[in-house]
Amino acid sequence: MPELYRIFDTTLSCDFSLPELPSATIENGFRIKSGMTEGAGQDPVLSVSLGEGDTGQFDSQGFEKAFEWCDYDGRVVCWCERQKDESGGDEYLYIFSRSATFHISSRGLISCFLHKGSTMQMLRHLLLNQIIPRYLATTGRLILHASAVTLENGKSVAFLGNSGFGKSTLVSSFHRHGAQLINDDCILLQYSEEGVTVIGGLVGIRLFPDSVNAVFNEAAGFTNYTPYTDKQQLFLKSEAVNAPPEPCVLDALFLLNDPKEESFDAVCIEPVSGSHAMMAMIYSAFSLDPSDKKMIAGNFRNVGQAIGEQLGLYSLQYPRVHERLPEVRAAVIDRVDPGSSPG
Amino acid sequence: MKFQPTDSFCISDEVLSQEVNGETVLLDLDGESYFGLNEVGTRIWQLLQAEQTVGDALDTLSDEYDVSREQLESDVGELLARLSDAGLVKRIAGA
Repeated sequence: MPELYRIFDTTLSCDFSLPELPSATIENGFRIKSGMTEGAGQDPVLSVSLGEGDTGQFDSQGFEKAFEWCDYDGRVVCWCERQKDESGGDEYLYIFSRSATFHISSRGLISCFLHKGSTMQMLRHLLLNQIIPRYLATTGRLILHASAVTLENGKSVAFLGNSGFGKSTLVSSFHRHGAQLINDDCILLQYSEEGVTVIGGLVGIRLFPDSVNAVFNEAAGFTNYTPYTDKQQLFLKSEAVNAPPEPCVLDALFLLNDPKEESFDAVCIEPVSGSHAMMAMIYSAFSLDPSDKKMIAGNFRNVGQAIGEQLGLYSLQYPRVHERLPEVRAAVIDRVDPGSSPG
Repeated sequence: MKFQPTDSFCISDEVLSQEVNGETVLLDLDGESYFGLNEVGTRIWQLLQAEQTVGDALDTLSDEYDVSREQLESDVGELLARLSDAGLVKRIAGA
């Protein structure tokens, strides 16, 4: 019997356990608590299943190679194949050669195939941080590669930047000092007349070991989970269970500087123009197929709508030294709530 | 870029534009590239969208900005040249 879970604003059913996500059963009162408008009998948006065996048993006849995803060092992380399905939509195969293959239909059915030598933890990581956000982007949702927290003063802030720019370390540091974590890696933005709201997917933090030691005093709860990086992962389970993702108004967005490009000795926050922020946000937006013009146009419109006068847009430059994190936190807090920072 | 006052410019169907805080970002779906327009560029783009002739657009801009006509023609010509070169707009010769 598949379990129901919540990720972002979405319900998904999955026939294997996803301990990273809050469940969406009626028994724990989630549906009532989160004020969901979906009827109890409505089908979930996403349906995930685990296929038997690895890709050797998946019939990929008819699929053609479409594109590759590379990491920021140019290494191929995943290649993608595509074909038209019976309804005229596109279906995709996302193949992470060392880990898992995912078959994604145009109707939100995702089949996962674990490769030999890989782990279910790795498969779930790819499913939750890559496949599902990319699929949800095809449904008109704007999902950004960014981290976000709600500060103790109630203001919510997001940090945009590539992998390795320091997003996770920064939000972990905030979290350690009283802020509530929204997400360390990907966030869903929605907009209305009141402004932009942000909602996280899963409540986890992934950090490199030096950051783990610097931000948390002990490494309890962290496990190494990926052959690609030395990043470790901590899931804040108690928060996930007690506080299923709720949208909150986003007050400011900070664009992190590329530490490889230039290093800074001082913490510096400057306002950035709407067009500058828009380009950065589009660049960070998840998509399932980079050649899908409908999706590119959708992300473009969504980002444009999300940038309103209420949302503060800033660049954030700072030295990537753990000892300086308190200074960075104080500068961010002071920017969104002038005069309130104790530092 | 040389143009006649009766010329107008047609925006490509593949171009999307979005105003953000007084500026405009253009997306060319054909070339998958983005362009940013500042405040004055945004105003010129709005007039192009309204299908004004270049002459009418210059008249409007003259009323709105305290700049010489020569400077205005030069600025508008430069922007139109860049937009044309990028394939975002096409010149339609006036009658």
